Amino acid sequence: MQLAAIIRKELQLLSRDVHGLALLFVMPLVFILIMSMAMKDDFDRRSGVALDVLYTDEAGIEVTDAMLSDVADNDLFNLVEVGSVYPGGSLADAAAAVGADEYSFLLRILPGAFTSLDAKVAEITVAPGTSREVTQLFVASLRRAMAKQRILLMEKEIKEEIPEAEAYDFLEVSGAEDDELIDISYGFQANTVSEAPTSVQQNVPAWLVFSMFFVVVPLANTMINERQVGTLRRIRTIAVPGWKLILGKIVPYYFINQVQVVLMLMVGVWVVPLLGGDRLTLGDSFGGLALISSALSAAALGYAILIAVICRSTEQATTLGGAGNIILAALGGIMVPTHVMPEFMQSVTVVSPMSWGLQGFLDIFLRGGGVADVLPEVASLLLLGVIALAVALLAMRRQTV
Amino acid sequence: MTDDARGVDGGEPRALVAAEGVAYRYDGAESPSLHDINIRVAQGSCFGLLGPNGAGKTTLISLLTGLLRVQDGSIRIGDYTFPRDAAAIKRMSALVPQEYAFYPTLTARENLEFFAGLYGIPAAERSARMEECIAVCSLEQVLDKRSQSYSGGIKRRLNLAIGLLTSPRLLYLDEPTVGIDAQSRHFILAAIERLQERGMTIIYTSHYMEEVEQLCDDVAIIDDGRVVLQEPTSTLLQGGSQVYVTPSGAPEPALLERLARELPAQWDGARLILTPGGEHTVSSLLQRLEQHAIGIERMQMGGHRLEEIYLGVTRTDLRA
Repeated sequence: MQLAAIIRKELQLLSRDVHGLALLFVMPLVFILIMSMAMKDDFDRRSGVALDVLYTDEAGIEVTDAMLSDVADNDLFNLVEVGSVYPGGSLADAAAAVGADEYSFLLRILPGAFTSLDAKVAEITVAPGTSREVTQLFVASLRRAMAKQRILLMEKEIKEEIPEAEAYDFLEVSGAEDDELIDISYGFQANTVSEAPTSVQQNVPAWLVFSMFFVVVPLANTMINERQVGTLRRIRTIAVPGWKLILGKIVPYYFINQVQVVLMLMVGVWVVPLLGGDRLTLGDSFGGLALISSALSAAALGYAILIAVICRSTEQATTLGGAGNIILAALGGIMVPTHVMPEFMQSVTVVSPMSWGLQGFLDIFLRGGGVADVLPEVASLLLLGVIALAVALLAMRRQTV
Repeated sequence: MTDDARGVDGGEPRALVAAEGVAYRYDGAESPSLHDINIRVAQGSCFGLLGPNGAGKTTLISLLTGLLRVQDGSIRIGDYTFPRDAAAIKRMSALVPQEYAFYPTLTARENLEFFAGLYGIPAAERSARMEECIAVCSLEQVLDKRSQSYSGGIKRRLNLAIGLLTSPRLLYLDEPTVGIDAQSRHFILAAIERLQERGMTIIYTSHYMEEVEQLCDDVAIIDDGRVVLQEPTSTLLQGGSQVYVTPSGAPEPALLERLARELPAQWDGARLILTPGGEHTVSSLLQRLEQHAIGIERMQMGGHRLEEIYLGVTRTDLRA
């Protein structure tokens, strides 16, 4: 009965705290929408969506046409004919554009391509901003398309000479196009930055984590007001155990945190795409998601109660809690994504619990992680929450009401 | 019928609250805030606890209500003692703090519901208990308005109503009329008198001496952490034999010292208080004043007021 009364009262107080509600729900919503859209192009480039490749086919034969068609089948490359951009097909203009990093490559199919087995087929000019890895990928893609056309040419010649060979599909026998011969599996490695998130994958969990820590403001304000106006003094003259008073704070704000998680994920899944952004993919582990959001809530609530206990005024709590959150966010890869940070700064992010929470979400959304994969982050967050709460309780016992 | 059943204890009214040799020192404080406090509060009485700011009243109430742990001495409330029976003591008493100790963004009804839940009042009784408190404190008109919109008087009434939710045997009222208009004050004092008539024991602190005179059966004055006076109010206010002389000009300190040595005379900062008796008749005392060239602007015979006694025992110097 006592616990229910405290929980109900906390929810009533929060429901009338317009600023607190705005901080918990409107602020992350606005941040998610603005930042997901504002950073979309930058993230798209980093996440390797369709690199533009200028090309010109000076051979102009059926084989080179088929080869280019195979290269274009690769979603990573968007082939743009030089003539469609530069009237007259000026190679000098095309080279200049690649030199200025407007395109990743200039591909020139040479006039003598495929006229003999040793005839040069192509020349590639690589833009200065194109990485070595991407270059190797493009070259491999081109080689594969070229090899396929060579096999087809050889098949045609052999079948003309040897009619018995008609029954054989040389391409199938070569295995050049048979992806089933290779199994690919993606290894999971927590906290890696090798897999860069999309804008929505970064921003939804980042600002969600940020807003979950902002329970510090309404919670600390309520606790400090209770202390300042004598309500806590009155409550402590009533036979109500201290653990009920603390649990009565934790339970409603845990509930609020979980509502934040559900709402912000819904925004990522349904609202951001309506505005032209990518759809947030949630991964496959509901259990992992529940675990990481619960642990985050534990850390945020421990931190909030500690701030409420050590601050003497609501102004102090708002300043310390708010500024603390911003510093934790800046350090934790919330404001600046970890994968764009220099290596030194990436190693610094581990000091921020917001980073632990964000990495936990990214493990699930981005890296296919499950319950076992987020356990390190969950343990760290729970430990922080317990330590913060213990320190707060010790400090509270020393305070005179 | 036993003394217990009659509510008397060896001829004395039975004490509901008995503090013996209570002392308390805050962590890091140079000296104790309370020294050897001994008070007895009779069951069903109203006990006035007076003292200047910082005298130790709040510390004593914090000890009596279990907010602070007793370091020295003992406190018995009813049949219970701290710390063993702290929960039982808390269940039988309630504190109405000086501050508006409720939630301003909640309505009076919501505040009452919250505290009723916290006090553990069963749901079946809650509605009736709330209705009674609402009626005693006349809150019907504002019940569903947020309490931050109330006047000071209504806030005081809500503060009191919350304290009455459990119909406690022992009620601590900490300056319940501070900062409100005469009408609200009159209403609250009348409500407290009705509670007394119902047998509730009240420990009352206030800086308004006339309220204490009106309400309290017994008075204790605390200063510098010590009980400097504890008497039944009726004894204190008995028409005394003193003569109050307001001189036409303030006498020199040396003269006041001499008068205090030679005569039954005390200076309270504004008046000389003469206590006739034996060889010192009223006329002889007034003659001696004349001999010392002390002109008399005004003279008042007998009739103590509590404020005079209070200032007499706590002195008139300002406190930090």
